[in-house]
Amino acid sequence: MLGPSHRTEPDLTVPPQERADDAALIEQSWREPEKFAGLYDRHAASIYRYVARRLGDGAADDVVAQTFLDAFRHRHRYDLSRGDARPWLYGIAANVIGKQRRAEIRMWRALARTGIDPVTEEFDDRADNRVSASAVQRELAAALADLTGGDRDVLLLVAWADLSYEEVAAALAIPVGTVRSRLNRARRKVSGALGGHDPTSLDEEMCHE
Amino acid sequence: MNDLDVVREMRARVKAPTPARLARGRARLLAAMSGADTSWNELQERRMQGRRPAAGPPRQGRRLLRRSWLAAGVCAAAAMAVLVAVVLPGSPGLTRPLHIGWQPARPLPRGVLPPDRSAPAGTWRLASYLVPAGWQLNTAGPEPGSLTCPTAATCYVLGNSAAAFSYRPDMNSFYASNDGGRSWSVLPVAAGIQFTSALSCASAENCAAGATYHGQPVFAVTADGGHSWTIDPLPAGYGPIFQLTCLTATTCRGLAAPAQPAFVQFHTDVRFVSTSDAGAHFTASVFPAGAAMQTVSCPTVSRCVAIGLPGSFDNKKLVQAVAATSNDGGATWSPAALPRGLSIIPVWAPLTCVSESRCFLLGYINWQDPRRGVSDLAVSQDGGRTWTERNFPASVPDPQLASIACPGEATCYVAGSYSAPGAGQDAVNADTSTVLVTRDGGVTWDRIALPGPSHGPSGWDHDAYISVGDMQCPQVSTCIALAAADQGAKSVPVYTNAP
Repeated sequence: MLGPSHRTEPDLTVPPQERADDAALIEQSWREPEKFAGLYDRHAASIYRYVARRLGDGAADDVVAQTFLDAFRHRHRYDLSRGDARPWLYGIAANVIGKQRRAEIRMWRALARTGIDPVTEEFDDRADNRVSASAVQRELAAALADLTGGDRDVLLLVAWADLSYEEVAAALAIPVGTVRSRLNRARRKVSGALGGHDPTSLDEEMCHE
Repeated sequence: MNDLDVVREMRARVKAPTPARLARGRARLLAAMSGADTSWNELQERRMQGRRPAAGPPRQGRRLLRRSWLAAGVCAAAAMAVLVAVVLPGSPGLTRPLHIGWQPARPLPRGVLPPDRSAPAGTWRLASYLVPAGWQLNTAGPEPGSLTCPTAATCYVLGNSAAAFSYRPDMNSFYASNDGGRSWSVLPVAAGIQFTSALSCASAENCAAGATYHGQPVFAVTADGGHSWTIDPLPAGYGPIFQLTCLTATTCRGLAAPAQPAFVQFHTDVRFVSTSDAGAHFTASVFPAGAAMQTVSCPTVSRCVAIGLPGSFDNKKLVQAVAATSNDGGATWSPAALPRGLSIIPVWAPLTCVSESRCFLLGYINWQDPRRGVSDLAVSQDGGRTWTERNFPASVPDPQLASIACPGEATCYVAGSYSAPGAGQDAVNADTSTVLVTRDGGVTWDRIALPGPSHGPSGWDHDAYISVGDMQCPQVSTCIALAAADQGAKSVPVYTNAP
């Protein structure tokens, strides 16, 4: 059973102790709707990067806007026992992204074909990784395009949104077992696509939970 | 560093949004929130009851919402502007028909597979690949869109350009088959043309489709199977035609609406449009209570049935669907009743009327809880005036069905996915592709087994070849189906149950 490896990049824009206040903020917005903007302040940047990585920079504004507007409209149904709203927000974003499934696949195929990634930033201090990242980038992009929508959602919510299995299950409203099977399948395909490359000692670590 | 770390690396390189960009997004959200509160429910209730909506904040909020979305989404929509019903500054505007001369078809490399002579009659099998790998310059291949088979031998596909990786599909490729989908040719489409509806054919060679010409809504008609075309401008204000049915070489009926941004999934301000002279002139009518009809079926020249949603709501959630019927070719419409609790997925709204009295609709129920929403079949035996629900069997849990083809009054095929029982830790295997058939009008269903190709690239799931999209059944004994390419298949399989 493949499990998530040790995180190499903490990617939390909101300190852990503040995430517990998401539920309080949402509850407050039931009576004072404008307070909901505080949730945007906390999570929009990370949602934006996730969406931009999947659909491109040009689509991110609209998708992020729709995500938070959907969340606002459904805020009365939010489960206040969940202190962290990220699974909820990422689930909504995944739903919005899912409606543009073909656009996403075309973007990955374009990257696979041309090697040009329009959403990356230049690196000054990671030149040693730049070449190797490009070498696998195209194969990875092709592999991502080949995944089913469900598998891709699970893989990228784990890898890019840093959600746990349980959080992904909550975000996508699917059983945890389904999360495991989809992640397993997705990682198998990705590993197969990357199998011809060994950029920086691409070890097959089998992390067991 | 393992595979998951490599995936993470890809996101690590994404630029963070600038503070200014986040501030613009925040302002946009606040503007949209001003009209997006629980008053929306009241507005929808009023519309469903046929009353005019109350003036005030909801309507104002919706205008603010649209303006904020349109203003802030200009960059995202710019790439699509050439595909929608907006005449670009400087682009040519048609004021009279444009005739595009005869062009030869170019045969594609044959991907014909030998039939299995031992298989029982009616067995579904892989007939061909629409675009075999090797024809395209790129390795991704096009994504053919809509399938139309006016006869058992003749099929057409309006599809995506092989060279385009645009935000929306460039629906400007035209494929034709004269042997029931076993082999294909490609016909050139004039520059500037983007199809906005599926092709509808009154005969093997007389076909038409909604389209845009350099962004201008037009009506594209051919009398020789796509070799030559006449492009007629649509009247101002109609918007592109998104659904079309042609009953004769000159008589076509359909739905038109202003184009929407990419992520808006249903059409609003919908008009029923009709022509009796192959597109030279059009008439239009609107639906009761401003309903936003998403699909229409006209089994005869005079009889039409339309299904949709109450007009002018935000498309962010489903509501009770509405229906209307016409006995005068769409000039006037009468409301009809759908089963309570039945909605439709707008982009999926498959409606087919196989006769003046018998209609089938793939609807959606339990939509109030997104986790429980499933497909449902509604059947009418009086031409759409009243409907009966037919649930799918328990052996097909969580049906999510997007297409239907009914070659007879009691026989229908449906395609989509369901949640198959899993194994081990997997309770279910969601999104498992399936095709079902009923031969008694939806009372009982059987699952169709579709074979996968034996020589697919290693690592590809069988699911990639049984995700069926469009199906056409030009005869009771002959169906052709186009498999979806969403799962990364580099060519599009074509299935048939014809001998």
